[in-house]
Amino acid sequence: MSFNVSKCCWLIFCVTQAAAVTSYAQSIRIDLVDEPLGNALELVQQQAAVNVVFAERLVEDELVTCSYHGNSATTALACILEGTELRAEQVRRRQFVLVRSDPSVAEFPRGSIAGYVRDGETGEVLQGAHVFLPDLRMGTVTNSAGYFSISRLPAGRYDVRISYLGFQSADLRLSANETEVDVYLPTTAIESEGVVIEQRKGLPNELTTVPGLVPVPARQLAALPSFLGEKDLFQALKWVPGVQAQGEVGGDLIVRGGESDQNLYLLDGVPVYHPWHTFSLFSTFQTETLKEVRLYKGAFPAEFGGRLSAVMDAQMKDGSRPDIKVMGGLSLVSARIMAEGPLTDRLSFMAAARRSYLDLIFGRRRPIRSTDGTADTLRIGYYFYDLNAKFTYRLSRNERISFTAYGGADDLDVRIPFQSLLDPDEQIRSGGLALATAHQWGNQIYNLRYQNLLRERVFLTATLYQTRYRALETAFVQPTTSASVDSDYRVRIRDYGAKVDIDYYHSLAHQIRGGVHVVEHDFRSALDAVVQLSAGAIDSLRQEGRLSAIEASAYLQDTWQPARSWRLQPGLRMTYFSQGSYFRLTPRFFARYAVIPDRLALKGGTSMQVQYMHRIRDRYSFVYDLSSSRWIPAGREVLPGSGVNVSMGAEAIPLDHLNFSVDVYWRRFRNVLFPKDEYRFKDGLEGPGIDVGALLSQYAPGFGTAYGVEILADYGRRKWNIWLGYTLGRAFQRAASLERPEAHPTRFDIPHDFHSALEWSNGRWTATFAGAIRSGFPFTIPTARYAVGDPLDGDGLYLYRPSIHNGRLPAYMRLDIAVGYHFSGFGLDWQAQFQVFNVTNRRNVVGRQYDPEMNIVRPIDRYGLPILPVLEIAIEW
Amino acid sequence: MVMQKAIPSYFVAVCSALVFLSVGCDALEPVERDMVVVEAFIETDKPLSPITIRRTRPLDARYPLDAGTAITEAEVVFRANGMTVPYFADPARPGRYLPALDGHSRIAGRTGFSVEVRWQSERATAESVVPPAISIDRIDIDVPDRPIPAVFADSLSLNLREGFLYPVEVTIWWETNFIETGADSAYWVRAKLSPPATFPSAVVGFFLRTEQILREKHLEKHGNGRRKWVGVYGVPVESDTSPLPAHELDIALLRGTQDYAQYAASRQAPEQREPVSNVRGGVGIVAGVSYDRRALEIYPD
Repeated sequence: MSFNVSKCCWLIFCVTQAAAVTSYAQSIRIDLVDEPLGNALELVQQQAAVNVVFAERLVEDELVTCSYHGNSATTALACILEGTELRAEQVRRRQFVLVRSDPSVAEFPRGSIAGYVRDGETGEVLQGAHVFLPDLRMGTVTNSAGYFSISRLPAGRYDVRISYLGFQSADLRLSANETEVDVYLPTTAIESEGVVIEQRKGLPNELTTVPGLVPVPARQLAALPSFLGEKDLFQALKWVPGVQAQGEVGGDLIVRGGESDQNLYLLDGVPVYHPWHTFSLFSTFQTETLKEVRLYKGAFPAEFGGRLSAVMDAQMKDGSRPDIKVMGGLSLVSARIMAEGPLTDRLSFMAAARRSYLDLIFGRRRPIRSTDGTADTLRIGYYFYDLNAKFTYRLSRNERISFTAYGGADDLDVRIPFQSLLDPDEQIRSGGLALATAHQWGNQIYNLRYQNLLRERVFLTATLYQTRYRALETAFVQPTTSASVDSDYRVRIRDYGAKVDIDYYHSLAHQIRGGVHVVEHDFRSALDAVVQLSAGAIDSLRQEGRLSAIEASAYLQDTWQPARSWRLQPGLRMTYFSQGSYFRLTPRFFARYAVIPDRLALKGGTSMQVQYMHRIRDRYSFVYDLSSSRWIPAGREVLPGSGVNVSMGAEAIPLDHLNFSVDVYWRRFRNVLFPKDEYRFKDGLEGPGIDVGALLSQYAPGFGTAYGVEILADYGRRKWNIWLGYTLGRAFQRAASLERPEAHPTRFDIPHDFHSALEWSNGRWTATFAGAIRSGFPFTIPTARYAVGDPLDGDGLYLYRPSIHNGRLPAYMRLDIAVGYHFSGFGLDWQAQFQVFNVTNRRNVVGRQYDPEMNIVRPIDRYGLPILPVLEIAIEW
Repeated sequence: MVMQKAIPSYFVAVCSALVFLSVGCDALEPVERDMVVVEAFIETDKPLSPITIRRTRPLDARYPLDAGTAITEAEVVFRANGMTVPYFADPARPGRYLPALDGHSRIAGRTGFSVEVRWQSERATAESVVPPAISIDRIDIDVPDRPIPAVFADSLSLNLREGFLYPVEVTIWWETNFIETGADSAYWVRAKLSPPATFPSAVVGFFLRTEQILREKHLEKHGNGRRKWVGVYGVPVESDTSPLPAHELDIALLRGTQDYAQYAASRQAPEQREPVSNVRGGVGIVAGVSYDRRALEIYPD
């Protein structure tokens, strides 16, 4: 399938190019006498099928005489320009620029249009901004420093359009030999000298070659309703076609039918291994601190690797605004504050903090004393926090260094002496009988990044980083004086990494990006569990594991614009993983073809990915391995996962103000770990332990297949914005070694998923209606009942389930609303937002069980969350 | 005008076809025919055991354990060591089949066998191995002098009360008198204590061990190749001065193959799953087993 589709892409490309070459090589016949130069150029363009870009003022009043019969466009152009002070400079195949010749220079001078694109309001550099030369129908995209360069342009002035999602585009006229420019994109419509602001001109992803890329500017994150008023990145991404969440309001993201451990979450380029708070209800990414998030679904360029399904690349703000800004907010769950601005002329900062506060209201801590005098403490508390900081120091105009730090954690601490739950008149005569559990997990990230424009066309980004995730789970339960369980489980993964990325702006046609990345992974885990059933029945499990691995990778990719309408991006990523000595080559190829400039573009591509780490969990004990993520490296016992992705799509502006896109994808992955026993659930005090071999024995390597269509329509005009997203997709998995080896739908296979949002804003008031309708999650439905016995037991009644996930729960539907109001008071800017979750109070079925003992077996349903109103206040000063 | 109308119709038709083909229909899988349910436990060195044959029934039908769910006209054949033994329906108990052999035919340990059931157009088959015989050598009972305080909860609702119980520790000893290599290394044992009633507190219940299924080889060997298993059950009493009530205790120890272990270990959550079956063309279990039972009377010293 992958071969056929990729072959089809190539076929389309080759046929188109062959037609172009044929036309280019056709004979040219020119016989002109005192003809206006403009007409002569038009004739050559028609006959030679070339494009000549020129300023009208250059050709005014010029008359030319020329006679040429042949098939060389260059010679034909030289013929008609003979006797003028002009020459045609070829910038790429079939494209020329008319420039004034300088007899003193043997070769025409060439220059670059280069510079930085920034947020007009804050001064933040914008990664991924489009810099487009409409006359040449080509352009580039800014890198992580907001830098762009279009090199080796013939000297002259060019119209340049700069655009970025969520900002007004700017049309400028720049000289090819100017020094770097700073372009500030405003967020509101303004007109000033030299800058003309337009709305929605051209396709939003005109220069994006990779299909499935979803850029999400930070300002868009604030618009959608969020659960409990807590602005959350993952909840916002759930509205993107092809992205689902495991739970009704939270949970890991499922992208294009992949598994949840196949997503790479990056914060300023550094992996975050467990980006969740509150048992996966909220993400660790504090939306105010982010300036942009780019989500690559299924396919990602060669610079990214290590996962099979998706890359989410979140960039933190630099704080490079002209003055200090402080904002704070209060939701039902947390309080947050963020400050950013300059510290000196060269140094800027961004710092933010968030902490949940429900423990301060509902938490408990008080002493308990038993009748035997034993003292104990009742403790109930849970909170999470995030601390973000980024400092950026500009060494020079083209050289800067930044330091990013992130620390966040969750802390659940519960100790309930059973005494405290008894009737006040009743006493436990022995102290110490209690239930206690503590779960702590968190991530720490440190990132030092150096960026420098080494030469005119070479941009260097070097990064040193450390990322660490660690979790602790303890449990203590003692219901009698002779029985108890005492467990301490710890897991940690720590990376030290170094990256060097180089952007080389070779020419108009080629922009090359390459880099190397070396990371040392260190995996640790420990379990110390003692289960005492009686004085003589004591089981203890003490295990400790440590593994380390070096993952080295190098990549090279070229953004190649061979013709006016084509944009290609071949790339190759090479990786080496020391555990098992795996070496893998994962090529990628993406192409974009502009069918109708600014109106319709097609894109497609194929890519291979490899993943050297798996996330697995003990499926037996409910005492340990509950909330944490346990990553294990590939090795001799478990192969790295691998996948291939083929996708094609189209972007169009069929009507003014309406953006429309459709993507078709097909994916296949193998050596993905699936539970051997789908029905196995944690039901005991003891399990086989945390040894990698014991964990792997609960899983089987298998295959997965996913395919689908994603459709997105976005209509925005004046105060209104309508957003419709639909996904038609399937996802299947199969493991040959299982008892039921046939392919079956994955846990999160959703054939139909429709999201919509209607936004209205007049600047002071905002209102959003957001709706979701999707197929229910797959579910295994019994079809018959039977009885079977055992030599040691009696007969038991059971339900027969013919295959895994043979049906699904009822469709899920929900409507949320959010109404916001901006106002000023007490010298501050206030924003109040009132949200209602599940405004229709629909009882969505989120789980289902069957009791075989019933006379007539009927489903017993579990329902989702009811209507939930929430008020959130944010302050800015 | 015609074109304007035709293109959308065509488009809609193609899209509908694509939707149908790609998404497909994954509604509930109907089971039109009842399936054969086979239950056969062939014991080591014992006369051939009866085999029970039932049928599955739809969810909207009751499931009485009588003639309404029994299959009485099946052809049942047992094969082992080149010997074929037909089974015949027991008219006294619908669904039960008895071997057409005298009571002296016994199946030795390590003997492979198969069971085949034909009923209407259904054919269900399964194979297993009879394990070496197992017998309980010794049983140690350890009861504390006084009851201990405990937190009782009728369920996990944390509606608690203080109570007292005697945790009774039972140690079962048996001999593994063969070398555990090759196929002999793959046996499982299931030990089970059956006190008169299940313990009335879910919280304490988690800390009682009245049953366990283990790979025999993974249990520590003591002197003379003996192995032991320790279980605990609880006897609730009124106060911290109450004596241990006299009661009966059934103890069972079973040796079987992995098929049986998977089956037995997956019977505990019928609302979540059905037991793992080794029957092809049907459901149920066909397994070779060896077990020993003891009934004890426990009373205060």
